Amino acid sequence: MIMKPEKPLDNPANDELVTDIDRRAALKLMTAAGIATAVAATLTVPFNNEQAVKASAPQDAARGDSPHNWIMIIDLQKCIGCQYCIFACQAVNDVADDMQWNVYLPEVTATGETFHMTRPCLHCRSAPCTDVCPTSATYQRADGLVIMDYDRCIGCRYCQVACPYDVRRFNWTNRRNEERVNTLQPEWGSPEIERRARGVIEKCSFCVQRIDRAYQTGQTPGEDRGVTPACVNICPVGARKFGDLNDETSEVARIVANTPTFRLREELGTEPNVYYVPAEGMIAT
Amino acid sequence: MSSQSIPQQAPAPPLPRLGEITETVTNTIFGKAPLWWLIAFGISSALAGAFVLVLGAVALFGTGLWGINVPIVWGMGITNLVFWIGIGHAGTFISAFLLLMRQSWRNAFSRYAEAMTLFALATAGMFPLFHVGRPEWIFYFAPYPNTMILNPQWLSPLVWDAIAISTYGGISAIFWFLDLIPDIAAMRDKAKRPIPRAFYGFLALGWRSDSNHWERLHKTAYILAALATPLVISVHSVVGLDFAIGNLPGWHHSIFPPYFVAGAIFSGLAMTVIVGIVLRSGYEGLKDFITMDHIDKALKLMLITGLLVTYGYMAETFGGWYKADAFELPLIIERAIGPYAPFYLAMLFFNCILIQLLWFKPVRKNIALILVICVGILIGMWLERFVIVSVSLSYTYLAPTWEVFNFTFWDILTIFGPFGFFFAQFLVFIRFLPSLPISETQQHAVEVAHA
Repeated sequence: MIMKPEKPLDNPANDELVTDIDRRAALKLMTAAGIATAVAATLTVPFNNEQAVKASAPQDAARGDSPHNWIMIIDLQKCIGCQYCIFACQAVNDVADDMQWNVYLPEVTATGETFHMTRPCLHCRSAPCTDVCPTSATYQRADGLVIMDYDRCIGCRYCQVACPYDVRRFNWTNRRNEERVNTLQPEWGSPEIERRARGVIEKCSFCVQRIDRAYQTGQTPGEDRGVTPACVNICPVGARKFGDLNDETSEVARIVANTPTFRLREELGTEPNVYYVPAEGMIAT
Repeated sequence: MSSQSIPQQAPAPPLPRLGEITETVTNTIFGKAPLWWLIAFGISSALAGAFVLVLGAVALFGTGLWGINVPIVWGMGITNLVFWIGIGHAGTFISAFLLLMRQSWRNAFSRYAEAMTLFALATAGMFPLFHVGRPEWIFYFAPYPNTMILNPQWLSPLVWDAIAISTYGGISAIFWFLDLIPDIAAMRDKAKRPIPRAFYGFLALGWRSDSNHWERLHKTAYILAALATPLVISVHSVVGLDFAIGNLPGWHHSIFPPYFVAGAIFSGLAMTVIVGIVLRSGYEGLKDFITMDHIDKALKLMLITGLLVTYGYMAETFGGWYKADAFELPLIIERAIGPYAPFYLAMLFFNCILIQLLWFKPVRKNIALILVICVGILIGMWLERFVIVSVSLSYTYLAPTWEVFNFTFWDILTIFGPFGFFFAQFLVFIRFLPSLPISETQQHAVEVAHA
């Protein structure tokens, strides 16, 4: 509560004068600032937004509309639990041993039969991780891939808590020290993508670099090995299949249409793009 | 305008003259630093140093220093952020909300409570900065102009959070400083040596105690109070939404925003009362201004907000049980009887059971008991944030990844260090700026005398 006299004291001498000058100066300043803003806005029009974005987009097919919807099918009846998918992923994407993008879990059905569960990123159509990212560092492309922009990621890990499938991995420390080595890095050749910096999130990308190459060369992921995710290529029993759900002639589209499949925790409404063919003894949901 | 009384429960002490109010408050600053201040400042600075050490280490070696890993990826950073923003809430509640409600008894509290808001926000602001993996890019939160039209992602509650908290910080700082101007001018007029006079003279911005000045200050204070009041509700609601929007057992509850606001004011009032008691016992002269009557009123408010928090716990548990989620039920049971049981039960004890003592008038007059209850509330509310953030994350949708939080040395430092950081700032404030609003206290004295 501030003192308020009954009547304002009358002393126009100093006060009114000061106010007048202030108001004029303020108006002048505001006008000048307005003009400066208008000029700056006009001058930057040629460099503006949409052109810059178009120029920087790696593949036009990845933005805007895309005829594709890349999905993966994991056949739990075929999987023998060799974990080669995980190893290939580590070799190709240079993933540290304790941050595997693909995980393997031995599981049992309700009737007690064992089966082998592997889990890449599910690339959900309605991905909870992309909705919460404060910087759009993770986003979904029109072709269904949920990918990371490592330059834009600040490492708040909100996506990591939002993901109900524990897909995301955080670079807690630098990859220099002993415990963050990738023992599956082959002695020859080099990984296809760069090592991620400390403090960013990384995750399975469906080998996005290969999908992008397919757009450039006109090959078909899932059929041409060079543009198919590493885990799918290496699977010795063909348990993992990759392809375009929108292409009705593709093998994955036929499987999804004709075989009972399920997706993980569908009741959450995340619409995963990874379909599982149930193991024997499991009931498809 | 002479020899008026300060509101007191009978028996009233001799009535201070208005000039004495100024004297009493300015004497706390121009007098020599008391021994307790030096000791308190020493301890706080040491703890603040520890906090700076943690932040430096985290910046240098990565957030992996904290005992967080899949699945508990949010630990001390977020827990303490929520806790410290909550501490700040009571300040705005007292200074703005109660100003609009014309509760002039608030005056004794308003200045230092508002200062607490600022320092608590400054402390809280450290956590998101070091919680993120790459603090150097944290400005991506801001919609700064750039030719790539890279904007923040407006769907993310963290972006709402950044906006809500920075608005809150800005308004609080302006509101606090505006209120300080007449008192800084009083300091300038009382200062004898040239350097303090120049220092306070600069900060007083040419205040001449002109009636026009008062008129404008008065209006602006009400406008700012009207702006700040919704922020009391909105800021912690948005913090609550961070969790409520996360699709996770233990987080996904619509009760979160109101329950967070109540919890914030609850813990903030506890801190306000503790600081008030310390100020009273530290500066003998302030006892006439921060009276037991004030503390009594704050404790009653605390009881109300505490009961709201208790309702929040019940609603959250009931909601979890009622939706019968296969992952929510184990969480409710695990946190009550699992490895986190000591945390959860201690939280319930401090926040729900211990405060029931405040129903009794003798308890509200017993300084020692009040301190025990208030410190208990601070512990309880910290535990609440820990339970919400990290304990919920321990039981996510994937049972094979369930983990128990692993406290490292750095986590412990991160819990206690911020208290030093907060109190060091606060002690500097009470040493150099008037910790009581002189003019408003005088005004209140006049009003009471006229009534």
